[in-house]
Amino acid sequence: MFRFLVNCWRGSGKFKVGVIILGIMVLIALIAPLIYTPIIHGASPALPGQFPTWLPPSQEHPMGTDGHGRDLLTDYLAGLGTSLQIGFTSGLVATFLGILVGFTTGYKGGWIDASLTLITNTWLVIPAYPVLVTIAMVMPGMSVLTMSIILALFSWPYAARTIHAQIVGMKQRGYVELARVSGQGDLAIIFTELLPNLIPYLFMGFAFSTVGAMVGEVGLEVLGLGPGNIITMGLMINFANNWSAYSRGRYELLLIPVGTLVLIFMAITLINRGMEERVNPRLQRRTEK
Amino acid sequence: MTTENDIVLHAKNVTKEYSVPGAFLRPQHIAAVDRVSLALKEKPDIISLVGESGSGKTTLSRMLIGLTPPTEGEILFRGKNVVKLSREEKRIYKRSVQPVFQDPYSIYNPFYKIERALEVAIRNFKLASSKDEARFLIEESLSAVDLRPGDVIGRYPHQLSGGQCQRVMLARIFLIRPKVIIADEPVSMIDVAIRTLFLNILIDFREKQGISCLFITHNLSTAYYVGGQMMVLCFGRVSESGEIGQVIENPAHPYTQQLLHSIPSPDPEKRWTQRVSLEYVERPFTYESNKCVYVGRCPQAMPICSQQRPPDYEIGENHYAACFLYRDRPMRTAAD
Amino acid sequence: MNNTTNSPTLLEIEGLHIWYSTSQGEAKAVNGLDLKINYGEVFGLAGESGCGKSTLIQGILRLTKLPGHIQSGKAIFYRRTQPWMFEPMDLIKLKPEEVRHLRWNHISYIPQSAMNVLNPVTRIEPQILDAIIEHSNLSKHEARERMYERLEMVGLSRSVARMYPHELSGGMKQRVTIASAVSLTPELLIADEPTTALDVNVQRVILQELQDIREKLGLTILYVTHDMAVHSEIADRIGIMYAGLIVEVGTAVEVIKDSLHPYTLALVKAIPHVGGERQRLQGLQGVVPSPLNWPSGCAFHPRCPRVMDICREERPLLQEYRPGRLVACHLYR
Repeated sequence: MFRFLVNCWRGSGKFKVGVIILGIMVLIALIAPLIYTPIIHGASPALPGQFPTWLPPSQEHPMGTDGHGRDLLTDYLAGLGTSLQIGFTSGLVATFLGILVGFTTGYKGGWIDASLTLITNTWLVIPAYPVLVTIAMVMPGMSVLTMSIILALFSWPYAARTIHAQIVGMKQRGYVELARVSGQGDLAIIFTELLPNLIPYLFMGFAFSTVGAMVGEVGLEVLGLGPGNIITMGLMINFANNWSAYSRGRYELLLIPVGTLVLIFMAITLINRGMEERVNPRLQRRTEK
Repeated sequence: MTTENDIVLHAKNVTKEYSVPGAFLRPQHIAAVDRVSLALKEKPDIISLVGESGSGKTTLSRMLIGLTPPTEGEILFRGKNVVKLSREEKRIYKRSVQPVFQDPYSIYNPFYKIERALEVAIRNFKLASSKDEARFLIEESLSAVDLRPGDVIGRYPHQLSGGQCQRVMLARIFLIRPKVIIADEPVSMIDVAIRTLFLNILIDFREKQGISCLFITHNLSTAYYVGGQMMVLCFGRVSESGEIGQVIENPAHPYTQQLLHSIPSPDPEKRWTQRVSLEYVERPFTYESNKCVYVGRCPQAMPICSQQRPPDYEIGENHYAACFLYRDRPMRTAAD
Repeated sequence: MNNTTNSPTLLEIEGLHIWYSTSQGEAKAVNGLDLKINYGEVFGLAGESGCGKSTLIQGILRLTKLPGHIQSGKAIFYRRTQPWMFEPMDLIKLKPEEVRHLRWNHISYIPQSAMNVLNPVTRIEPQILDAIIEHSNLSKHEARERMYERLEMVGLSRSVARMYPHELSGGMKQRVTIASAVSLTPELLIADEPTTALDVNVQRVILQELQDIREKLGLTILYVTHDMAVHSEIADRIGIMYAGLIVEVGTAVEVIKDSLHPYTLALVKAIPHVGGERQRLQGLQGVVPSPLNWPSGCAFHPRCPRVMDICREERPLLQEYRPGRLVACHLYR
């Protein structure tokens, strides 16, 4: 598993760049509390009215304050952390569900496959966004975890389908037959033969789900449907709109959150492309004549 | 007490049918294997199953290994239907009948080092009681197929050549010591010069290890090289069978004759002189059960060939052909 | 079978080096190769996987893909400008547009598994016509006439043009590929393992067709395969390739019945016979070396049953042992 990641690092420039960017982001998010706690005197970053609104940048507030009386730098730092958190949690849940469904349907086939595939495909067709919006409207005061799970519920079909397709293809491979005639049981085959070769796809699926979840989160926040008591990058975009960032000439209020999200997506995409490049030539087997 | 003539693995009148969409959306039943009987006995021998693509040879081999059940007929392992074996008997069956596949690379999981294929076999068939013993067995089996353990152990499949990978397959066979190997086109994907080494190992397996082989190939020359018995499969039906030297010297069935004529001559001074037309060679076979399967292409077809399916007639000792040209000869009896 | 040893030259390759730049160094897939193909012959290029024949073919056709590059060498092709006049040109030095014009018009190529390259969702006709029109000045009408002519020449009826590839058998598809490749009457046809995927019955017919069109169109064929039995059946002259070099050349009878190079001998002995006495054959020990690290001296020395000290140190040059008979081996100094 880790050998794969190491090989990706060595083999692909894109991968390196992506990992570095993402790494920096994660690092910032992790040390963020150290930076903002002194500024906001240990209060919650989302607490409004702690300071006067629209203060210009100063030593106490390196980026000034926002329209709700919060320190701007804290806004962004905390927002980065939360957005990443939502993305990764969602990604994990989605991938996990996807693996479960994908493996079962792919390997077992038969009626299990048929019924679960029907469910997966129907789910895919449901327009995720309107449903998300509806749920969000009905559930005010969501927590980060709830939001992550809801977002995950809409990205797992993709992971499931990818894994299913891969497994169906792999079932026919020679080494699976060899394992069977060597006395390996079904479970052993799934875990020792199929799973290791799927690791690149699992990572890629995770990356996609993460990005998908973050996009979904932004979508909700921008409409003001997310939990208002937690700062995320999406929420910052929403605020920027509400505060008429354009007309005030305070473009950075919009550019910073959008730019950060774009950087994150770009980093994840680069990582994905790097992994893809690694996987493809490896899968091409040369046969001698 | 087992004797030489006891049958180890027996395909008894097996048929494998598939439904294929036919005209007017009515499914057409095509028999990939059509009432074929084949027996591998205690006495170690090589039976070459010769046929072109679409002849059903792979389907038959998969049925013999137990990977797919026949639609009709039975596959018997030591007299018992393989579908009805108990868990313990099934383990013995798996251990006794092992395949060798065609593509030397796809049979190994690219994620693991190549010796894992041997380790899994040792573990599941309980061939060693300690790690050291396992290591010893692995090295022994690799040497037995003319590979240096140091060249192979620790490498990944893509780091070895096709010939080496295929020989590791044979090392695995040596390790497991089955009674029967089912080898489906084992040499068609490796270089010509390495082929000989591989075939020699198969022959040695028969002579020295007492392992029988069902050798499936479309190449008559490799079949001739390994010797033994031969069965010619023509679109799911056995058209001719017998000791290979006899069949090649005295091919009875027109299909066998045509196959022999199509082999490029290894002597550049003796080249083909006759012309053959493709339409003749590629005219469709007939699947109808009351006709001879070769009637569409046979230059010697008679009216009776389109009315009945020919039974096996005796051409010589242990040499049979399913062709009405020999209807004045005795028919084959139930004694295999 | 023709003895074409003294026919005029059609393609002369000298000192060709085609290397692949990898992170582990240069892989010298073609390593200073010399080869001469004469007009009107079927030249069989024999060699197993890893000998560099694919790289060589791609190099001749200037289809080498990165990280491969032609390091040095010449490939003089005698292009027919008039029915009786041939103009020499170095394929290596041509510009891309010139090479493009050369393909199909003067040198045609049937790659391995060419029949699988046919577009499954288009009928045969447009696929052939597109190729003809793209490479020539023929009008659509003329191109269609030419296509029918070639289809009939390979024994297919005109109706095949209206069919889809999946309606045709393997043998028919391969003949379509051949008809297509010779539609503009090239001087040279390069066929890479054209019958490997086909049944032995069909192979026989395809080999027959190739010889037919060779005579009807005055073609020269470079037939590449590892199958010595096929060379035995159709080649006029044979060249044996090993480790990026040609190690023996001669007529088919000479190379097969009177092999000089130990590698040739091993290949010939490995041709299985049907019928007659059954002998246990030896086969070849060792593995094909890697182009990243060819053995010192003669690349075959680690596997050679007749190796001498000099073989480990000095690489033998391809020299004329007898008129028309070339071999690269210290046994024949």
